[in-house]
Amino acid sequence: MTSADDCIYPSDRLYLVEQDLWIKPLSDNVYRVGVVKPFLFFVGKPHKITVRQAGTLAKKNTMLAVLSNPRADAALLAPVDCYILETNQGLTPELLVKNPYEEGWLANIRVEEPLTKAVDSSAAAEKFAAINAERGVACLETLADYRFTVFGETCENILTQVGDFISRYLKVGESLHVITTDPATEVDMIAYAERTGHKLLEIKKIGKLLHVIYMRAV
Amino acid sequence: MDNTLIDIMTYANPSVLADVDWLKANLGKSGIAIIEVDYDPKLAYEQGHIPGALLIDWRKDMNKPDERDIIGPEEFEKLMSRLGVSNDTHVILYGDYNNWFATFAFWVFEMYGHKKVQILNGGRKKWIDSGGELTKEVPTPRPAVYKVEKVNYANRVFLDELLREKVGKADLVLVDVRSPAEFTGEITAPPEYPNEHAQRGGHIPGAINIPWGQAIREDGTFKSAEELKQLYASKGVTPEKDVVTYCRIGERASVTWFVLKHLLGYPRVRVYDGSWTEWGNLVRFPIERQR
Repeated sequence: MTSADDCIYPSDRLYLVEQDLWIKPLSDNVYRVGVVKPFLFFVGKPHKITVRQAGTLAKKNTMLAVLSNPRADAALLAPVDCYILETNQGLTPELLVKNPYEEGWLANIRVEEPLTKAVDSSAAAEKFAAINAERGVACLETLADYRFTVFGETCENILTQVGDFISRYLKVGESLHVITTDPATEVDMIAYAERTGHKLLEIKKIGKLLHVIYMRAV
Repeated sequence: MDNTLIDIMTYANPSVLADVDWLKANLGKSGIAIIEVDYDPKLAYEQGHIPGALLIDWRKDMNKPDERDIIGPEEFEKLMSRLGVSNDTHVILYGDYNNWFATFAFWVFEMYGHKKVQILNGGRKKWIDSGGELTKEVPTPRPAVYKVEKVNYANRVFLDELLREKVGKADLVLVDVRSPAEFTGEITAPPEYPNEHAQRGGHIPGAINIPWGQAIREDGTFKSAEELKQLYASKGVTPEKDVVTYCRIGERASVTWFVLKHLLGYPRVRVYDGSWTEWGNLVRFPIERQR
């Protein structure tokens, strides 16, 4: 199921909207859990993932996992009391970002009470759309290394700031997610990449905002 | 007893710190207000906070809307009243970004004479890492009566004072607590706050660079008094000096201020909260880039 903000919620599983989690039943009271894709766009690229140790009990509302980067230590909370049966041993930030719905799973858990608030993918898409709008989140193909929200009085001003950001912070090969609004147009943003030699990875208008991803190439 | 508790007892003023385990055992106790101070509440407080914790949204609640300054005593009284904090409430502060904004808030609480205020050692990070309970429930406190008796600016230095003193005083030492890349002028703000720049990159002439994080362990708690003494003394920041800390907007500077003033007991330490976004934007002011 794809929502209006381009976020995908596979229909072969259930969702816990309040916890930003997906769950896939494995057997009675046993689920595989992971994080939904828009949450990654909310937090930004994680530098570290901490998952609660296997063999321990996670009380309701305590952390199942924490995604950390310089902006945040964002906690994912247990929906009910549950035991951590197994954690994803090979999990790395890269793997999580690549596919949070498959090889980026977090843990297998056994719940101590039923997950009455779990919803299917179409209900999840609708509920997450409202949350994503409030958080200012949209899903793109690439989760960039940096994010820069910039509003200027003129398009030229916006592009100057984008250029400053790229030259100040990005190494060659790193990417920047620019979130902007009018007066910057898609044409201007594309022309900018051509002029500067930076690679335009993605460009998408979602709602009133224009999302552009550049990769520093020179 | 773990190392953190032993360390707390060796600090000059151990009463300014609260320990995570102590707080876990004392959750819900009356007379205590736990306040999360966030730069980015959406990613922190709203994503789960310590049960019963209130929120100070640093940008909105600690700063005046139409003037670049921290809130005045009357606004502080209103904020405390809204949070249900009275003059006798025991306040425990913690927050995102390694407690930067919580420590800035501590500095403001002290300025307005709050009697009992503590920093949760290790902050939000340590609480989460140690499996502490979190909730998304937001408490609705009963408004309290709060009165600021006296404003104390002893821990704050303004630009004009700094200029006057810097010229005349030999024992003044300026500690720039930003990253080396900010100190040398390579960047003017960390990438997490790209919209808050200065016109020029560099540092105040004569300042020495001791990044705030050098006082902090991997788990977010403060290093031992012995390690801290060694760190600052080795750079010439000693108790008999008149110390001024600064960073970009004053938040990281308040962490180093807290360490020097309260953990090491230096008698005269002030935060220059105008910091680089003031100095780096002034016309006809000298800056330095190398050192």
